[in-house]
Amino acid sequence: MDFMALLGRCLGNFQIVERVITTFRDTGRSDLNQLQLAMERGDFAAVVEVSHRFKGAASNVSAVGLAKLLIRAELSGREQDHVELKRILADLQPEWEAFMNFAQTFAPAKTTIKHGPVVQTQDTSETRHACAGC
Amino acid sequence: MRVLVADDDSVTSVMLEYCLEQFGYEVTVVDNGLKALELVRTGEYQLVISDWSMPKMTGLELCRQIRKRPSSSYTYIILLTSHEGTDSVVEGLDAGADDFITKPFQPEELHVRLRAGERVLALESRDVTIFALAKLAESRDLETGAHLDRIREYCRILCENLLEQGPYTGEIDGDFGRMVYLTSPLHDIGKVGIPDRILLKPGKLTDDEFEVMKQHALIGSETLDAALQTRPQAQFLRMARDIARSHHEKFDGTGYPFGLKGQDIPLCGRIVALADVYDALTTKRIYKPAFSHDESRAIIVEGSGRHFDPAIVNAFLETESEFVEVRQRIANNESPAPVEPGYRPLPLLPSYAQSIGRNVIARESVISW
Repeated sequence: MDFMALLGRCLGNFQIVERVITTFRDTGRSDLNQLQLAMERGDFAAVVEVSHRFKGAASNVSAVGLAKLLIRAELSGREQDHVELKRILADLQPEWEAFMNFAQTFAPAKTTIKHGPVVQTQDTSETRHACAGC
Repeated sequence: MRVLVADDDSVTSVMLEYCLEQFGYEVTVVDNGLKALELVRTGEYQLVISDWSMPKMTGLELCRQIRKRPSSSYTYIILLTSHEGTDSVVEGLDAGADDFITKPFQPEELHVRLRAGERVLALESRDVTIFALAKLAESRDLETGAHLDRIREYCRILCENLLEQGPYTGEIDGDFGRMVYLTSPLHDIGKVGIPDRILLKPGKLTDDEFEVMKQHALIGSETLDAALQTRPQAQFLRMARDIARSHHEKFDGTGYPFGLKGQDIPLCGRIVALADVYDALTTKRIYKPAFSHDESRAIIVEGSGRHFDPAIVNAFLETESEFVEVRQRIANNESPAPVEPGYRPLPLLPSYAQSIGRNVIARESVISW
C-alpha cells in the first residue's frame, strides 16, 4: 500500500484517511465476496463489473497490489478465463488480508468474525452507505 | 459553486467529497446515474463528476441524457473512470462528456479540471448576461439594434489595427479585442435610469436636462460595478463598467463624468468613444441628418488630441474603408448617408469641421452620444 499517495489524495488529513480505509474495509469485503460468488456461478459479466468497481476503489486507496490483481481479474472476466480467474482469486485473498493488516495501523477495525473465506465485521451495508454520504 | 458527484464506489465518493469541499465547492453525492439525472434536472447543478460504470444508469448514459434534454444552461460533465485508452475517450466525448479524470485521481488535477469547467460555464453566463443587458440597453435607446452592432464592429476594427500597429500592443491582445466587442453594446446601459421626458425629448435639451442626461454614464457604471462586486473575477463586467463610465470622457480632460485626461481614460473607453461618435455622426438623428463618411472623418480628425486619443484616430484613418463597409452592411431601417460605390477615402479638408459648425454639432451630439 502506498500510504503517502493515499494521504496526499486525502489532502494530508488523517481522519479522512481513516474514514476512507474504514469504508474500503466494508466495500472491499463485500466486493470480494461478490467476486467469489460470481466466479462460482460462472457469471463473467458480474466478474467484470465487480472487479472494475473494486479496482477503482483499490487504486484510489493506493492498494497497489490489490489493484493490479483486479486489473487481471477484470481482463480474465472479459476473456471468460475461468482457470486464470480462480488463480487470481486465490491470490486476492492473501493480498486483501495483507492490506487489512497494514490498514489496521491507521484505522483499527471493530471486532471481527470469520465468515467463509472472507473476514467480515458486523458492519452492514447501511454503514457503508452512511460513510458514503458523510 | 455546487458540484454533483455520481459514483457507486463509496471510497471514491468519500475522497472526492472531502477534496471538493476543501476546494470550496458545495458537494452533493449520489450513488447512481438516475439519481444524478434527477438532480441535474432541477437546474441546480452545472458541474457534474460522474463515474463511468454505475448501476441503474452508467456515466455514459447520464451524459447522453443530460445532453438530450433541453436546458437553459450548460452542464459541464467530467467522467471519472478506470477505463483507459483512446477508444474510451472517444466514446465518452461522443456521449457528451467534457473532460476525464482517471482513477486514482489526483486532487490537484481534479481542481484544475474543475476550474477549467468553471471557465467554460463563466463564458456561457458572460454571454447570457451581456445579451440580457444589451437588450435592456436597447429597449431604452433611441437608436436601433443596428447601432449597437455597428459600434462593436467599429471597436473590433480599431482593436485589430491597434494590436497590429501599436502603440498599445502591450495592452491589447485577442482577448481584449473580444471583450471590447462583447461589452461595447453596453456603453449606454445607464440610459435605463434617465427619465423618458429627457431621454425621449425630440428637441434640444436644456442645461438642467443635459446635466441629468450626463448621469447615464455614472448610472451605467455603478450598475455594472454592483454586479462586479458579486463576481470580482468577471473581467467582462469590469470592462463593461469602464466603458459605460468613460466613453464620454475626452482626451483633453473636458469630457464627463470625471473629466479624465489622456491615458487616465481606460483604453476601452477611448476606443468606444470614437466608435460611438462616428456612428452618431453617420446616422440620421431627429435633430440632424446623417453626415457622410468624409464629413464625419473630418470631425473626428479635428477632434484628435482633444476629444479623441490621437493613436486611435490614426487607427481609424488606417481602417476607414472598413468603417464605410460596416456602415453599408449594417444599415438602420432608415437609410444612412449615401456612399458611392467603390468608395475611396478623400483627403481631409482642414477647415471642414469649422465650415459645418463643429461647436454646434459637438453640443448636439453630446445629447445622443
